[in-house]
Amino acid sequence: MRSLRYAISGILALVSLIPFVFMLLISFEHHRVITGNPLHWIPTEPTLSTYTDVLSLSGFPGWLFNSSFVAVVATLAVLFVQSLAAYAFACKRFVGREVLFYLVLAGLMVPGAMTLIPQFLITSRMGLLNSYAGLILPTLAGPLGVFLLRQYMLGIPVSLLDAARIDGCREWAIYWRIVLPLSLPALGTLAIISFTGHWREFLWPLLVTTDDSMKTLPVGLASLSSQFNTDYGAQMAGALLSLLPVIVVFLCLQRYFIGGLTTGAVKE
Amino acid sequence: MVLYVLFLLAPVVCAVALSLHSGGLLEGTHFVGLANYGEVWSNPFFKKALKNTGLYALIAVPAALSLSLATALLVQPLAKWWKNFIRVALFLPLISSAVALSIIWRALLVPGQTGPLNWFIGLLGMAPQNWLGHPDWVIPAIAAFQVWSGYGFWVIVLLAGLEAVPVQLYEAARVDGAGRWQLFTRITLPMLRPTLLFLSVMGIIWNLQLFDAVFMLTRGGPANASVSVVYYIYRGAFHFDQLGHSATMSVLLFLLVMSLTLIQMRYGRRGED
Repeated sequence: MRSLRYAISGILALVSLIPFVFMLLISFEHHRVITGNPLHWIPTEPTLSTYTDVLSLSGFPGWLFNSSFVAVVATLAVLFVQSLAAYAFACKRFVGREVLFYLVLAGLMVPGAMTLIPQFLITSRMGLLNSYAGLILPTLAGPLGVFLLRQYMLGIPVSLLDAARIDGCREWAIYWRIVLPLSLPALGTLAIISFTGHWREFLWPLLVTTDDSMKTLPVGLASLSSQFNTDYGAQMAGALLSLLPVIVVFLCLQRYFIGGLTTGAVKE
Repeated sequence: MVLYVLFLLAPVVCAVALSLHSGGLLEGTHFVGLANYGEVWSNPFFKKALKNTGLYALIAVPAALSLSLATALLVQPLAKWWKNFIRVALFLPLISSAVALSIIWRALLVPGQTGPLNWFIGLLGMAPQNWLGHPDWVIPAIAAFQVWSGYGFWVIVLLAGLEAVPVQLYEAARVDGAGRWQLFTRITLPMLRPTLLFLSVMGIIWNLQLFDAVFMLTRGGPANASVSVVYYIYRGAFHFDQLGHSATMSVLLFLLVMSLTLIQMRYGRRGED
């Protein structure tokens, strides 16, 4: 009975993994046709020229840089901006706090597709198309992170903040030296959600970047797959190169990834 | 300090202002009032997109829900390292971009005898299909892709939910002579209810916003058979420059998502009592 459970769940894991194995095996040969039999996926004359082609014949290195830059900078900015907002909501008293917070919560219900057009109009009027600012700025005001961090910060004892204030701690120091360090687990969760979110995001960068040199990986990859239309090997090499960074980060930090995902979800 | 707080709040207010603006801004640009809504509502292509999107959700959500529940129950009593391995394996599609995954699946779904999926179902004695090229197959194929790429999330959340069920409940029920099936229907299911509800509503909301897979796998084809609402909005706004129409559709989508979220919040809360 138990071994049956292992067998079935093993097959399920295999179903998840096979496409990745397929990608890896196919990427070492220039393929015009794909064959079904997995034994034929194994490269007979393995080559790295698929990879060098992708890297030299397209804007791939630039896209990789753009994606990394956008994901890292946007994540840092998200952490900073949203933790400041969450700090205000959790630890400060001001007129209209409840109303504003409900507005933020309402933002959770707004689908990305709805803000897409106005966001695009605003970004283009500000002249930010094809710029890092255009890729990053509109993603900073996310309600999820503010909500997540606020809930966490509410758990910080008020007496701690009062004590710091009595000791002459400034507002900024309270935020930076007390609240932030104590919120590290929630910040970590948000960092992971934000980083993978930015790394995967497709629709927004697709709209904002028309210039090939400003594309992020998913957008670049989409154009790459039509450029190497007849070469499955090169397409897979591109896909693999684009996935590699997050997969490596994920394998190193898997416990935090999976833990973060469930805190985010079970919180509801 | 007040200034400081105001400064912190600015981005949040901005986000809120933005979300409130979308309806007004566009009507402002076009000055047509509610006429857009009438037009969109009678537009056969929008109806088609809406129907397709409904179908995606209708196929993908129950499939992901039952599959992930079965998987979570299956894996839960197994050794810890194995559970972790399963989690990691199922997590890989979650961190990968839909674009890269679509590129892989486009190759796996190649029509004719040479396609890997067709080769596999050939082993089971089934005839090869043109998965992405046939109007009858394209929606199930994309829905299956959605399930494949998203269901790890469901499993991981359900596993966490299962671990949160107090063991004493099962012990007490067993002492009272409850069988396996009773344990499942009387304890596991009711205890998981809020999680299941959360997952199904999230699943519906995600599928209502389906875009990446449609863009990458079919571009809405063949003959609009796979167009989703968001893909239609995108094409209308950025290919045919009908911003007003697209915005109207996005407002309708918002209303749909909002009502689903409100339902979830209300029933989710009731589950906690």
